Amino acid sequence: MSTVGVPGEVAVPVVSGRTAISSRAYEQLITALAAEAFAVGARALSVRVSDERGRLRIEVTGPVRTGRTPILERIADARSTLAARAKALTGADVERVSIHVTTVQEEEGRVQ
Amino acid sequence: MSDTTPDRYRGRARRRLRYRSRSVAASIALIVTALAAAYVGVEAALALLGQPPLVSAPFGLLPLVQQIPAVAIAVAAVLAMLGLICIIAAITPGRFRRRVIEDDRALVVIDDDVVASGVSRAVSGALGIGRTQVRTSLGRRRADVRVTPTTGFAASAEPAREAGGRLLADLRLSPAPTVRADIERTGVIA
Repeated sequence: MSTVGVPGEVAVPVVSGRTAISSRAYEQLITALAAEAFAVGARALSVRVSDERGRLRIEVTGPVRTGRTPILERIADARSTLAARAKALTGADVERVSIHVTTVQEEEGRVQ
Repeated sequence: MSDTTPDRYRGRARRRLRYRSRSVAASIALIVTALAAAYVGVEAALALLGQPPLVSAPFGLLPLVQQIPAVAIAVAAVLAMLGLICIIAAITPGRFRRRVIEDDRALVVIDDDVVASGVSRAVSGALGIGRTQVRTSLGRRRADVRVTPTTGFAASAEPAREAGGRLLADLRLSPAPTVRADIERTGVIA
């Protein structure tokens, strides 16, 4: 067991072991992240993860909300945000985020 | 202080433990030959005595073989297979996949697949991945380690090679194998 520490702080012991995250866990996490990014309910979205060249491949299918934010902009933002947040939360590198928009939801209270 | 094992016994004991005896193959061959000889002998004796043949006279089988090509082909195929098996059994070295651990006091022999699974375990532990993600095959002079990485978490070959090498060095095998580690391009998620 080794320890890492910064002078002035309490050393934190590093315990060796293995962490495994299942496909289902990734999918649930990314569904929540995508629901935020698309501003839709998580239940409307379907997420699949798989391996592509040793890194994570994420496929998101579902509605995207449109309105004040143009839809293409929302999707582009979502793509980079999903990859960055997935990596920050799980440590996994993402190779690709594929987004398949099924329907578009109008933003609430938008004047037609 | 006890004497160390005399060298000539060591050599012979070593060979005994490492190589498969060919007595099984030899016994089978002898039994088959004995049965065939007995059959011919009994039929010959019966023919000489003027008694009816037990199964059928050996030469009586020839027309059967000549008339039905299928029988001839089947017989030829079976004999060819047996011949091939005998040749292979005779030529292959008959070595168990085992190797020797160097020790002064005792002769220690270990199975190759035990060593290989030990290497897999060491590598999977060093890399922090599951044991099913590492496959090791042990040749005479080299251990080949193939690692399937966890998706999203890059694995490097160097720590794998070191971990395997350390285990093999600790075992003090003779001959001492080198380690080669390869990381697969496609990973598994969990």
